[in-house]
Amino acid sequence: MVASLIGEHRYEKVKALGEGTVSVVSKARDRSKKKGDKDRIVAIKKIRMGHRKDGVNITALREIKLLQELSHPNVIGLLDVYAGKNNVNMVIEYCVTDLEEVIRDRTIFLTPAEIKCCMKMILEGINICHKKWVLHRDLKPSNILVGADGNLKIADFGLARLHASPKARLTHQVITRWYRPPELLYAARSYGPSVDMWSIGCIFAELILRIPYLPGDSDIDQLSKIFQARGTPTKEDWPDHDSLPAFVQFKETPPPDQRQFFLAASPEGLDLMNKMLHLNPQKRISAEEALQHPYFVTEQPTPCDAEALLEKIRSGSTVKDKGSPDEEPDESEADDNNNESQNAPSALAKAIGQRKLSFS
Amino acid sequence: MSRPHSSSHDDSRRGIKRPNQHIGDSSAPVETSEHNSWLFTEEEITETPSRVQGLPEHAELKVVAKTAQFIQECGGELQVPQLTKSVAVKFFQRFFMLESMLNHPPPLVAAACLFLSCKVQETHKRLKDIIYWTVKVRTRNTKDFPDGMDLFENSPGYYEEKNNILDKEREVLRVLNFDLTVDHPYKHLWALTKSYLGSDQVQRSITQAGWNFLNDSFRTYLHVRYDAKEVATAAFFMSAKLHNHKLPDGTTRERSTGKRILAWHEFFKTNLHRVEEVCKILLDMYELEDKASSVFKKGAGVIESVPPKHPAKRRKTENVKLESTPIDNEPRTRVEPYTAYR
Repeated sequence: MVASLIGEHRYEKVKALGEGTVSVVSKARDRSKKKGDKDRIVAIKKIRMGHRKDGVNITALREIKLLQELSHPNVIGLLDVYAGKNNVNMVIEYCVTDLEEVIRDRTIFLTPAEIKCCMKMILEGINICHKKWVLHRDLKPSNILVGADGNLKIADFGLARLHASPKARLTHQVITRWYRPPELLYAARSYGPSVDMWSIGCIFAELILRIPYLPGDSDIDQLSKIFQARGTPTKEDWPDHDSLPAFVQFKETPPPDQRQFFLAASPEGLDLMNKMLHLNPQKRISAEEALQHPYFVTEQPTPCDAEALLEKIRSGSTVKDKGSPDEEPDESEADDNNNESQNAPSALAKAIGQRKLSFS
Repeated sequence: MSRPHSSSHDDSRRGIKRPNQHIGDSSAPVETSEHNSWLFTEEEITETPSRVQGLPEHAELKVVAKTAQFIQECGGELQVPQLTKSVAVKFFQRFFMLESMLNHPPPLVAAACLFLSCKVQETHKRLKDIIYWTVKVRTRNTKDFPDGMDLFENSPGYYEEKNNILDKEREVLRVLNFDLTVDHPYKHLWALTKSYLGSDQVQRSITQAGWNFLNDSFRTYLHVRYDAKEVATAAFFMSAKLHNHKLPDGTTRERSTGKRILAWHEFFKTNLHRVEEVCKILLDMYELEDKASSVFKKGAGVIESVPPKHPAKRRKTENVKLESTPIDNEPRTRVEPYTAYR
């Protein structure tokens, strides 16, 4: 029976996890895997087709293509893709929670070693993306998931794209505002991996402060928050910033002493954060350099391991779902959520499963 | 990412049963390398679904050659880069390794592949532009439309064409199993010319010749049989030969260090026999086109060469009937049926 399971008949949806603008994510069980297998529980992201205007959703195609090229423990794994009647289904690794939940959970106290572990995993994930010329362009805590093995996984590549040519004009309307770097707020049309590094710098600050670091209400407010916290850019620091399309002159403020804001940060950690949050994108540290920074290499404490981090996160109050492979789905919920593909497929369903499924 | 194993996929449609293989068998060995799983053996290529359904070899190859030409032309009008066009051709050829040309009109599939590859390669084109140009190029030099038909958004027939393309786009995605990664031979050729040719002038002319060989190579089934690196190596060899440029064959040594210089075919660790096969196929193609042999010039189109009882044939005759009774003086609005390219 296992052999003939394809497409939607292979996965049994257990419960809905969340809903986005065009997609629904649900937890599911892989029927082809035996009880106790590691990846028996999966998540299925169902993307509705943007119908009859521009064909298959470009966001879905991008995400599928990029995830096929990236394979790394710190990037979300794409296990399978199949098409439904009017949607595309991406089968991805099941994750326990996301970093935003962890940061918001007041009962979890993250030690410096645990913060370092988080940062290291995020940087390793983004390093592999940048090496393959992929810009993520939407890094924020809610897009960084905590896998069942404790590894942090970068997810949601819906805004990501390849950046091969430096001449290419890219849109500046990307990245959630709080994590958007100043050059994008100034509407720069050509940029590179440094935009992701700014976002990671903001996440780093947020991990220490436990509140969003630069929560701007509007694009202008975002800029003023950035300059309040980091000082205004100077001619020497960032020579051609005033020639960017949406340049606005702010009242010049010198950079404040960062120490007073980050009492809990170690000296090297603060240095790394300053390098990630450098206003000039050219001078911002790259992911590869950041991984070689003394913060990770020499400074004590060394990053803790992923299992210890997972233990800590599980101890929090928000994570109720332990996501263990042996967990059996709640039958009543399964009844509610999908009537057509629950339990063993009927003879008819099996027959359909063996033939190729058509779209329309 | 795994894909249903190609041959088992085919067999299920043809009704041939192979032991121990099922569609989507998760326990079957899955090739990990993303481009290898899209390479087929010579035997598999002579047994494509179209052939099994009775389409003769020359007709199939003609469609392949014409499609490459068609995509090249449409892509030129739409001003998309060469890479986008070649990805479209690759999608097209992969699609027809698993599906029959008699069930899916090739020009329509080609349009859908072009639309899809524009999205995948981040060179977006609006669907209405794709429809306008594919219809125009397809209907060029026909009796009714010497300059090609203009199909605008408000023209009758547009809606039908649009629905057809969108349906085929999904069909293509399903058949390709969402495997959108394609290895480009162009970048391998570039790597070869950069590492073997010193002077700028030689490098430029040989790269240009190799590039043209690669463009032409898409008119054959080479890209579903040989790896992009093998095709690139063959194109590199042929263009060097064309320019009488001697390539290192593995015997020369670097003067300063005394290290052996890699032979041209060892750069990508290609099998010399396979590279030779690629060259042969390319040269055969040129010869065939040169002769303007009867097969290529006035050979039967796809539909004409099918045995008379095939359903596709019946559909064609119905179309003819429909077309032969147009109301006089009324402008022709029906889009050409997708039979073959003109």
